[in-house]
Amino acid sequence: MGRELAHPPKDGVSNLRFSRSSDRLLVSSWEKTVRLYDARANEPVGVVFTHKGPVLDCCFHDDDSGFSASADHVVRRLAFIADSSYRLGSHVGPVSCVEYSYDQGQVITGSWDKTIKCWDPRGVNGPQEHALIGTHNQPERVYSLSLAGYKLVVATAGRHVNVYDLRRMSEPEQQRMSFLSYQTRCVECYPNGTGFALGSVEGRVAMDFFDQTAAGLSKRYAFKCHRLNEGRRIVVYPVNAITFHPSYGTFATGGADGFVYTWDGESKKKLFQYPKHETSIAALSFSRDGSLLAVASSYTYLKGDIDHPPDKIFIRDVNDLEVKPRPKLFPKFASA
Amino acid sequence: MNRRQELCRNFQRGSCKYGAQCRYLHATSNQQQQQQQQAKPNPFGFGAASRPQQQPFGAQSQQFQQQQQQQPNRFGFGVQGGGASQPRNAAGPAMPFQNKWVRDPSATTKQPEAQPAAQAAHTSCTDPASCRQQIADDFKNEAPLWKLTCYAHLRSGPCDITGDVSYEELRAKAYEQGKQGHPLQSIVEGERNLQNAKLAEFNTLLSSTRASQTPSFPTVGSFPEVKNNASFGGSQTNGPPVFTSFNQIGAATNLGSGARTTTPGVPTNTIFGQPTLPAFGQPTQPAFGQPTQPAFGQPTQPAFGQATQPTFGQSTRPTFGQSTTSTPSFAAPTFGNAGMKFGVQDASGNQMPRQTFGSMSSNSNFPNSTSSSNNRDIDRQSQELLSGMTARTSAVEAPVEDKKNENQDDSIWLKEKWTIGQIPMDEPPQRHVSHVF
Repeated sequence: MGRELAHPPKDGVSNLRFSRSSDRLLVSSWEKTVRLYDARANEPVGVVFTHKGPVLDCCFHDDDSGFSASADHVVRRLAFIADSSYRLGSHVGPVSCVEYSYDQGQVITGSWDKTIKCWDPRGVNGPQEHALIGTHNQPERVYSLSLAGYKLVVATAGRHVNVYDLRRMSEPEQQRMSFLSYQTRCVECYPNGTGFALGSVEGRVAMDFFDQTAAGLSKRYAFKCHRLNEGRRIVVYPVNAITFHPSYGTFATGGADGFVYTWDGESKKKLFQYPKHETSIAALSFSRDGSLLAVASSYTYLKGDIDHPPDKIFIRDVNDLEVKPRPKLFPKFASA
Repeated sequence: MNRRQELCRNFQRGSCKYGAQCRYLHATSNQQQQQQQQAKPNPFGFGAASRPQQQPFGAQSQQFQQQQQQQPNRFGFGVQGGGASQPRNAAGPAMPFQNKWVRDPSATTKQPEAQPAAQAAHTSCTDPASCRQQIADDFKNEAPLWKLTCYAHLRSGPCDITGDVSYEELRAKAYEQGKQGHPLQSIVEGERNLQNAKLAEFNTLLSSTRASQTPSFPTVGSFPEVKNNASFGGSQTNGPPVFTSFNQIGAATNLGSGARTTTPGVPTNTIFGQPTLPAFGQPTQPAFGQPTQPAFGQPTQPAFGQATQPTFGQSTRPTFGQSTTSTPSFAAPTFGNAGMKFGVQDASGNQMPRQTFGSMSSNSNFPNSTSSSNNRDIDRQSQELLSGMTARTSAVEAPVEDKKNENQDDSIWLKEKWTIGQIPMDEPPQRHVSHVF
């Protein structure tokens, strides 16, 4: 199960991220705070950033700062060392996701007001909206974003998926629909930038590719996961989180059933199943070298407001066995 | 199945483990019981009986072949009428350590040259029976725990049921309301209403797609049954209310705080929420509004609610001939056409009409057997009306060169599409009538 993180947020966790350059973990929560932890030392670092509304997403900028997306419609930049936060700008509705693009140097936020906005974090201290680079309308409320290099994938309600090239944001590069039948929960791009994985509420993950030629389309597939046999029925749980191992390209999925599984997308195998957590998995994140996996076991309100086990965050040391891809046995062509 | 007329308490909470086999009524509220009850009979019936009719769709080659490949599984599923088998996927539910990776059907059955068609196979409702089956399969096997979701039965296709809400949104809303001082009870009530409304939508989609294709439905009984969609069904005097609930669609599909306004009538409309149904929808509209004009109206209309309403209102009977929409052919087709459309239409609402229109004008392969055997009774009524209609419309039409055409009778009846001025004055001779009355 891994170690439990000390002093977790007191309400549900909405998302957690590892830093790209250290083992620090940023956790955003429904208790309106963003907290920074040192995952290896297992202790909180710095001050707790309190917002005016539940914080729905967070991400790192560098080791010194990060961004938060809050339900009070505001996007903020958080400076960890200075222990202060600055307002980057706001949306018209709750901001549901935030990502920072290292290649482009921009912050991208998606919101339930059906837009995504690009911001320049350096414009923070200027007049309001000075930081805003552009606003792009989406067909529906944005539920999830993911970046890989210059590609931005936006997953919205109504199963729409828009793929943008960050260098040409005037219109989406591709406007597609998720090829799953139900609501999209999360989207995550492959580290190698060839495609993205979509998780939905029906216990399925779709592996899709940017390449829309015939060859690309034939590679896409979907698999079922996070379904439990309860009595004579199968209960289908939503897939809440997907995270890719930075070097292996394998990925872990967490569902509302409390399980975390790791998969090899290439060979289409399940690699490992972690023991069941007490409640649903709200978020997952691999550390920068893939040696740690942070699991937010936090009730996601799937069944409304009911009593639930306490929300916890676990940090696991990742065993190679759990994440190393398993190449297909008996390859057709023997490699020299 | 409905021995007890009580509502299932678990279902109200969204977590009844008996599903379709539950002995209590799975209805969203007492008011909807009637419609739901009408929809209830033979939840498994369609699987067994409708199978044979799916064969005749031989028109499209590649697409159909793929569907055929998939069909045997579907039939297998239909027979059992329940259980955990997944026709689309390899075998039953995945046990924890089993690797049950299955490619998405549209991906598996592809071959390079068939690819565009392959994708289209499942992205177009050319075979309504398989769509229906798919929808039923999905709902039986894969109904997700989270109910407030959108749904599409076509891979990569638009949603059949829109207006999904994520749990974060619900939670955020609840927190907001909590802050504003609403008692927990009312928040919970609100959420429950949302959920019930959504479940009603799913039920209607499911039952509307199944309805007319099930021969096991009693003949006349099928008429009201098919119209079971809350506001539509009921009585035809529901005309006005139907229109108003229509307007609520916009509000309803955007959940969030607006969701509470969803009334039973609305969900049914939202399913059809896609204005792409127009062609078909128009002519039938009047059926609802003005009981005396059944014309096409029929029962198969669940789909028709939508946006097409307003245009319909203006274009009543006379415009059958000159349809205000882009389908002149629709208005005065032969009986064969009309019947076929009905048969085919019912299925899954959305995508269907568009496709059938396309296919109608392009090929003349009417799945007559389908419609005739399944929709015999519905068709009978529609035929009668249609004949009445065509006679009238032709009267309204521009001068018809019937004299000239007398010697070419057959050709006129065999035509796919009648242009204005060609529409025959009389009924087709018996040999051209493709339906058995």
